[in-house]
Amino acid sequence: MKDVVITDCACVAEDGFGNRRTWQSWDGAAPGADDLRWSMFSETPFDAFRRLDALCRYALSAVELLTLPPPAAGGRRPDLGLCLGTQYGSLDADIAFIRTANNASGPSPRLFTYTLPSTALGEIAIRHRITGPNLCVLCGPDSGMAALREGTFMVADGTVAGCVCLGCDAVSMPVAGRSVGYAYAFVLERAPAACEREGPLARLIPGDAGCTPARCVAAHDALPALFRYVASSARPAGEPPCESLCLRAAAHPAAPCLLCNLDAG
Amino acid sequence: MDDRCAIIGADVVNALGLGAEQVWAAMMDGVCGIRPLRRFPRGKYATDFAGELTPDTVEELRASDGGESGGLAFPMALYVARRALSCTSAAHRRAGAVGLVLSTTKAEMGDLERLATGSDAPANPRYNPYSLACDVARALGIGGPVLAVSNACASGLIAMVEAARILERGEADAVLVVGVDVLTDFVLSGFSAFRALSPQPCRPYDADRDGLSLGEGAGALCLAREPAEGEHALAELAGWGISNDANHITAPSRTGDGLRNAVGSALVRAGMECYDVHYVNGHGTGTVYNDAMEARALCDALAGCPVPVSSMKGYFGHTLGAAGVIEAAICLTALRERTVPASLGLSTPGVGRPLRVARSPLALGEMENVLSVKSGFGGVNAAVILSRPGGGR
Amino acid sequence: MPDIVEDLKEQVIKALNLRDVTPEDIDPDAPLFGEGLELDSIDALEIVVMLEKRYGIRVEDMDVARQAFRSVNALAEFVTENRESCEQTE
Repeated sequence: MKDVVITDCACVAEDGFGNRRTWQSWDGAAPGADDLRWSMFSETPFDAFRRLDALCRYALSAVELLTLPPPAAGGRRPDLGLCLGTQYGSLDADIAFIRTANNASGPSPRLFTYTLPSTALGEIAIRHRITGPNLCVLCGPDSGMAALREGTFMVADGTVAGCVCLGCDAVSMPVAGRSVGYAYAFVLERAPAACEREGPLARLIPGDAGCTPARCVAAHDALPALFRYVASSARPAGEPPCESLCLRAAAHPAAPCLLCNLDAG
Repeated sequence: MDDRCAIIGADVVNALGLGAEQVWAAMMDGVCGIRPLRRFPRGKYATDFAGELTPDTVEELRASDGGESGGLAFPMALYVARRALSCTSAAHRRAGAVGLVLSTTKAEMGDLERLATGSDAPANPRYNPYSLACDVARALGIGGPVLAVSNACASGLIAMVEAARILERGEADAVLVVGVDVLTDFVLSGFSAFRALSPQPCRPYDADRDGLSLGEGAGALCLAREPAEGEHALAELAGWGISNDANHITAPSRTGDGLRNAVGSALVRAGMECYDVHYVNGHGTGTVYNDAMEARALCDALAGCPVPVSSMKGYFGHTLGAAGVIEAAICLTALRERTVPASLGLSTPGVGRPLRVARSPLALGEMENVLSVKSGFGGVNAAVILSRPGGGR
Repeated sequence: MPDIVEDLKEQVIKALNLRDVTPEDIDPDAPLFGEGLELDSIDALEIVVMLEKRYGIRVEDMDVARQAFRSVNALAEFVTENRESCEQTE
């Protein structure tokens, strides 16, 4: 098993957006998916952003804030995996598509494309030329955590050199009780190579090694908690980082947890 | 390290019937399950043909599920899952240590169609793949990890890989992989708008192919690290590979690089060379571009080894997120019978590459290993190698 | 003809959900695909659905569509021709 580290993290969430180094709170209320502007996240133009559905908008925005491992020869990233965890999947696009199919405008091919949550992985893959393995999981409130765990194991067992793990949801329909819009993204890589490039980084350790259950964070909060832990930018000023953070699935408390440690120095 | 795992139970339901034996017998007889639409209005979509369950099959499913009148995804998934699980020896499996990975694109979409168009809202949102997975797990008394995989048409094979990984990590004793997708107005309208449907039953790998035929069904496989006492391995999951084209959001890549790489990874993981593959269960949707891409990828990946290839889509249509599991389950019968199923609907081969597509069932005494490939929207490709137990390399 | 051009501009914006684009922004002679509005093959399918629902024109061959969808003016010509032929046959 190889050591796994987090080389970057980013989010577009209800309180603001940022990555490992920078953080910006929203002026007032968080914008909805339609109000997200690409220029907030990137200086490189991306005209196709306007076509994306809400899930893709959040997912691509967060990934754009990340620094990805450099591509291989030919500009592609064959050794980078992609894992997406989503609780509601393509629910918004599903409902919007059903409505077009039943009204005068006719079934929209564009909307139909987004009625698969894995389309977000396809859009990310195209934009960042990521050609490694893909996984899109739905696992209730544990979805983001599940994607992070699968990515950690994929790097740990050598399937890939790195993995972009995402927890993302975007729902505006009342079926979910309320509207939701966020994406948390993490870049995981093998330890020695990544640390040589980036310096001390947060380590992810699968299993229950050295975990203090009292400090465990339940899964629905796992990704936000991990982001605040790794991204010093998002931590309230003066708050020192704790020694370690333990993330645990809510639905399966018996399942092995993930332990995150900040490297000393 | 040997990271193979055993498949100890399997079953299928689709347009050809209920149960793997019935489906296999129909395939050997050359029966086409792609028929004129029955549950949907004719003339509304780009085709009047689909691989729908027969009324008899629906009736039997309903009866086995206590006569519930809801959508078909739940009864189909439950039926095949129960049958695949019945092959396990409960006495030798820790209680609550069986997991479930559900593979689907649209789960119980009919429920959401009713909700979105304004009539009664279902209490239980089985249109969410995870909720459907939890309901199936609850009905079976499964207490291990439960999750849903939704990777377009590659979902089924990716769910099998996910199950193998759960086993490898020791998080479950056995994992059920259940693939299910139902024909709905949703998918019929969507694929019509995409102009991806053939007006006639599809003709995979044919020079005159003009689109796919949709189907519905469910497949289940029960995976374990190794068979326990009283259990019997039907096959082994020997290797797998997954990739993304990073090329176009819906269209297959023209070069086939992504699928070629997925097949390459699967061979490496299985410790095999291209000549170890004896049959390729292709994706073969019957669209012009998919089949051409696949032919290119397979010829490159298998370095010209003349391995027989066939697509099952001509028998029962494209079952989307269930296709990987349904077709893998049928491949287990093919391995047992050492017989390559034909590619129904083929008359004039024409995929731009010398692909050896089987026109009629082919007895193949040496058949030990089967390669199954699937590709889907979002540029995703998956390849899995299944071997006869104890055989392979 | 000018009416069709204006209507098509509005329909294209609506069908393709082109946020921030107004009918005045669209040059009727400018290419719709590849450059200009940077539309892609899924947008082409979207226009096919729009033509059928709005004008009752069924596009059978996507190669014909590719020619007809060069620009808004080309699209307007296509609509005019096919609407006439539809009316004659029906």
